[in-house]
Amino acid sequence: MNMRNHWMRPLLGAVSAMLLLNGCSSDSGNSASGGDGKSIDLNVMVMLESDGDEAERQSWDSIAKTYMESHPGVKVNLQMQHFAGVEQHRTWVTTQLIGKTAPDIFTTRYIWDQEDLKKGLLVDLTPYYKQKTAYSGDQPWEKLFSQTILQQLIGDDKTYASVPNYVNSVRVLYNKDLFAQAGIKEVPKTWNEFLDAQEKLLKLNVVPFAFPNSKPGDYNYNWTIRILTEELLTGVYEKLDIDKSGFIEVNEYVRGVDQGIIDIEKSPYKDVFAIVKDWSKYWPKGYNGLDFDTAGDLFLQGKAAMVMRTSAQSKALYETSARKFEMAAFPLPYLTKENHPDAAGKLMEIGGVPAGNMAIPKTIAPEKMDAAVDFLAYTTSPKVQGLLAESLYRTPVVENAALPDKLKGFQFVGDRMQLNIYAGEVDKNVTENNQKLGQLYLEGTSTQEKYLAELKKIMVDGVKKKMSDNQWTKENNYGIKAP
Amino acid sequence: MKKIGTWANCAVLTLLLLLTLVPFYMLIVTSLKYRDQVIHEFWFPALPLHWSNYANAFVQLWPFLWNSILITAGIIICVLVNASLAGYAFARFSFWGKSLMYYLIIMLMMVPSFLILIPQFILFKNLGLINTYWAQIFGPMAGASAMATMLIRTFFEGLSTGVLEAAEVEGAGDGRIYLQIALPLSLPILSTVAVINALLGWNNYVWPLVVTSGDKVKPVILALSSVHGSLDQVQGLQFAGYVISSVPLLLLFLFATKSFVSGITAGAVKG
Repeated sequence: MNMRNHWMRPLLGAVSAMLLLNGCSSDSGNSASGGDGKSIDLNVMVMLESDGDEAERQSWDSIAKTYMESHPGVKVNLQMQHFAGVEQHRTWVTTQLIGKTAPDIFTTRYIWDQEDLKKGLLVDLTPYYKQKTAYSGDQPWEKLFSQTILQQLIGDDKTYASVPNYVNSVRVLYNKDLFAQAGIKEVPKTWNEFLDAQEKLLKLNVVPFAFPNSKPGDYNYNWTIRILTEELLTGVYEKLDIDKSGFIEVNEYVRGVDQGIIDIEKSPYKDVFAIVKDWSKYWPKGYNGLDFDTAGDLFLQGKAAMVMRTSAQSKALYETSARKFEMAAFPLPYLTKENHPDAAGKLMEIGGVPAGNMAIPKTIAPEKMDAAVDFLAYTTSPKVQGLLAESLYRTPVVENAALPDKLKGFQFVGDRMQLNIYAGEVDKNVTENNQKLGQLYLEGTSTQEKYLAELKKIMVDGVKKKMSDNQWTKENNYGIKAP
Repeated sequence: MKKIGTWANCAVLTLLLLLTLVPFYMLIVTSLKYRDQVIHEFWFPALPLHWSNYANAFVQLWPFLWNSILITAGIIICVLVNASLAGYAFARFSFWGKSLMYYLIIMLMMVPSFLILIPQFILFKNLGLINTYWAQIFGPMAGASAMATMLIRTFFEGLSTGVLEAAEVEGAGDGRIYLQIALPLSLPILSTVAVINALLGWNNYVWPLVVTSGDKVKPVILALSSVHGSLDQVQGLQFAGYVISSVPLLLLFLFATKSFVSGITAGAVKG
């Protein structure tokens, strides 16, 4: 009897635990649309981009609520998800798409969407972009977006795979009190004025510019290199933009690298790196270990006079009570002929990088497709764009949208970039390695020659892969159509 | 001279202790602040202490704490059952292909978990286990059982053969020897395996991220990244959340420490 008890107890325990677990388990998965054909359940995964800001949750709840109020036949089931990093987000997207368990709409990134579309995992949104939506007035949906946005969204084969709901524009945020104390009366416009201002700030015993550079996700290095490089390239646009579209598309970039028109080991491309290295004397000690958030903390503590941020990222600095000084924004000052003979002498805007992109998986139930596209279109409506701008400081993705006062400093004032070399959508390997190899160059453990030789190899390998994937050759002119 | 050496040792050890404690100190101190205090009084406690951070974080986290406890307990139980049975078989019996099977199991330890993420996800999806506790238990259990089997087998092999043979002579079957002799004598290694797997289960991030959606079966590690509040409060809330979510593990470690230490030092000294 005693023996039986010894055997029975663990067995009963295990069975009870299994029953308990089974009872608590949920296998809701993707809820299908109502079988009566009247009600559509739309499962939407929104990636939360701020670090715990409840306004972001409230905004999306409000967007879903207003949508359901105006569309009584659709129920939007919001799943808000924060990812620990870009890699985790990519892992989630990949597993959900391959496992065919992705929600009907989900947040992806514009540097992945074309890859997933080519693998047949996403719905091709191109036909929908060409049509009118309930929110685009008399014009096709595509016309709501600027050319810069479309250039970055469109794939090698002229397809659209996702819809952005805001754009990133980059600005330098500065501490007005420190600028005044240093005797800087006007915000710098040119690169030399910028360096002069930082020299004055150095005398105040503050860090002139909190430049985080611990990883590619700290952005500052990538933004800076891209903006400054573009300012030296206006002279080569003509050689690259052979279809005369006004933008250098991916296949034109491929042609440029393959034919040696784009050669980062040569001037003017290589000269930018020395300019940035020279600027690094105004960054905090250990900038290669400084991350994005800590740079923001230095700024709020009044120990650093400037940081670089997108409009959405600037909210945490503008709205916190921890800030005890006045702040404002200005564009990164531009290079002039005094800095480089090829300098265009004008600001090139990195602005217009699509963000918050949402896509539809190929596995979506056909009866949900129209509702899903309509919801995506709704996120680009003036009402939603205004809400995102007002509550989350997100620059509207639609062209000519009115900016709220708080975002006036982020209004585009420069020329749009055409080549956008080193950008993630062109080749993310180049983007990431540029930052990693750049760290070694800035700290002096690698020479510029070695840095650029390694980066060029990665760039050329990426171009060869694109040529192979798309069957682009010199003979077929890399798939570029004549103007 | 000897005194100076002792003082130097103490100084170095004190420094190391302080360095070890600084992150915990910062965690606690920051968890009681608003952003304003974090920015301007970074290193030291600042008044007023915002205990409400703990209350607010707990309200957001408690359902997920329960989920994590359930999942972690499931992993520990499954791994212990799996690995102790396998370890016992490898330690006690001779059978055809024993070495080959053992090395096949050990080889599983060498496969990076990231490599099998997608195949495992598809397997669980086909089994209809996505968004369940089972997926979160069986996934990590499969990987963790290999190491546990190795540890437990080694421990079983070190048990006195005299005791086991005496039990056999007295007529005890294998089941009884396993349950009433081998397992009670192996508590140190079983505790070690339990603690290692508790850490693994509690801190597992990527697997629950991909196999769960919604809040129903979400573990606390995922919920931590969703702790939200106003911009001026959220940092303290998040840190309070980290403290709260570590309490169950600390309690487990507190109760299992003695056996855990015996387990990890088992076999260190012969005789």
